[in-house]
Amino acid sequence: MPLQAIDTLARIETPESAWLTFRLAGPWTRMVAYGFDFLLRLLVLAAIGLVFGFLAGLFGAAPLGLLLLGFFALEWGYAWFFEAFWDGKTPGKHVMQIRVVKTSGSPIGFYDAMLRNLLRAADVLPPIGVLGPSVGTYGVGLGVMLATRRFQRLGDLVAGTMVVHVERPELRTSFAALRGNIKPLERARLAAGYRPPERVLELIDRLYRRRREMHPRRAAEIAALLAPRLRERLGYEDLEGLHTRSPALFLLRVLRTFAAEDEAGGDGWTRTVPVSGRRRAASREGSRP
Amino acid sequence: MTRARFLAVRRPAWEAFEELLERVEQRRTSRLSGRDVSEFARLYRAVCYDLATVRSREWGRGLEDHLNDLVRRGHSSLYRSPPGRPQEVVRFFAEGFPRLLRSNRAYFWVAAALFLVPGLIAALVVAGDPEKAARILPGVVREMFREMYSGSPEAGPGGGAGAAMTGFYVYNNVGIAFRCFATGILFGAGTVVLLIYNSIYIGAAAGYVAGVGHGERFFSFVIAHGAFELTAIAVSGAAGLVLGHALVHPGARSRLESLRRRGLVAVQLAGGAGGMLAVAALIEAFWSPCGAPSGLKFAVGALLWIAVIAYLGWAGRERSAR
Repeated sequence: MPLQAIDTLARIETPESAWLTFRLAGPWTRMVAYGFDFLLRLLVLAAIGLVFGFLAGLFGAAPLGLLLLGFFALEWGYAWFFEAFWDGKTPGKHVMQIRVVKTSGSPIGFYDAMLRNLLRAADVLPPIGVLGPSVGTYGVGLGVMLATRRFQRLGDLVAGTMVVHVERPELRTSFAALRGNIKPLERARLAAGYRPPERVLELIDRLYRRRREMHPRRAAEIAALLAPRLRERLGYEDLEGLHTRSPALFLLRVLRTFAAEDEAGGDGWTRTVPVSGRRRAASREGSRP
Repeated sequence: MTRARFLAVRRPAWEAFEELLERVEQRRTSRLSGRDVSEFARLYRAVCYDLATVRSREWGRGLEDHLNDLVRRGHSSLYRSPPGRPQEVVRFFAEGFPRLLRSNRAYFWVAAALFLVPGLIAALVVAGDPEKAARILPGVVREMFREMYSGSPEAGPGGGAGAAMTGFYVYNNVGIAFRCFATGILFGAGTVVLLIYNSIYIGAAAGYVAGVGHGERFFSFVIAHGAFELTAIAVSGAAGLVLGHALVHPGARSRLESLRRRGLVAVQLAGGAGGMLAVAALIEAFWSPCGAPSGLKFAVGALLWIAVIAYLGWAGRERSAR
């Protein structure tokens, strides 16, 4: 087993021997989702409370029974049924873009949803008064979550489930960083023979795309980790001292230099293989690219 | 092969796969033909392979994430368990649940003992000296019990508002049962505490009402639904003990693994108990408070006890060999 990075990814091997990764949802995201669900339930409770309270005024006590059944359903059945029939999501989870899956990566079933949500009664302990299983400090759940690798509370552990982020990464068709007006490095000042691998170019692009999420000085700090080494590998004669003065710009110019080279050789983003050739291409190229 | 060429060649397959995926994911609107299904499986394997290629060549996170997402969605669609059908619920209550309970009967007897013995003791003590009830039941509750069972049999407790009481009994009793099950995961301690607590409380109440001279009214009221209610609480206790035992004594497995295996059994028991309590709530709200003479009520109650015992003891047995 290779050394595992400390991160919040869950890695799963599928029967096809492919490794899948899931980004785990942490306690904070889940708490916000829970808060949303809680408010929603409160709203529904208030609404049916008003309606049945009014009906009870007209027809006597019978509608109150329905009201109590509603209480019961919301308290125990809300998360259970949503998760069982809506792909592991409750409205709160939907808003936070997270969902429940089995630790094997497959969707959860009826009993999984039942198990993890009934066991909520243990996770909410210690209780706040006697307000029912959906109100409590969640001390047990939080403690267990922080002690497990996949942020599982007791219900998750027993049901074999985990909560993950739902992501739809689009395949980007070009480097975002290239849209700016960046000059490539001068060829004459580059030692021949070294081309930065694709993942390095990606990394530079990712740093660029996240530039608004961090302070420029922090971005420069991160860029400064990569820039000197890259300059060394490239054998670039940095007469202006660009890689130390403005490491982020230096990286962008590296990206421009080599990404352009790629594009000149046909970037492949626009060309498509005709449908009839698809199967052949898939089987031939798929087996030994 | 360069990354650019790889993309050019493989991208159409990914797009075709994604298109199929979208149809599979909203399976209500369009059903897939046999051809589509085999095409789906073939493309899925190809995308798995592409993902491995991209990972090993380190062709960038963007590409990797995209393919990872495609494989993840494909995996979800392929390895989804078939949707449950309504017949399965019927089958579960007709056969599965009693069978499951019988194969875990040791837990049931322990839970039943925990739920019966402290209550019996409390009932006997309190019946002998109703003032002792003050140590367990608050004054308001004692007052309520005395009121409830002192009237004529026709004005039963609950005032005839059957539907309202059903709601209350479901809310209260099924809640207790589920909590009794769930807290079993605290090494069984939660279950044991809840069983004993409820046992003493109910026992003291019964003893108190009998002690102040309303015994016949009380027992004719509780006997019918008690068959379902009391057994179901013991069953949910058994479910909690299954969890606790899996944790305390996991045998050759790790504690986690043992919990996962037994958890499925436990939750089904708890679900069965929930069903029994729903039946109990209906009886408790509509039959138990009705004005029938005590003799009839005891007879019906006895029949229901026999029915519950027969159900849990024999339902779903294999027929003997022909």
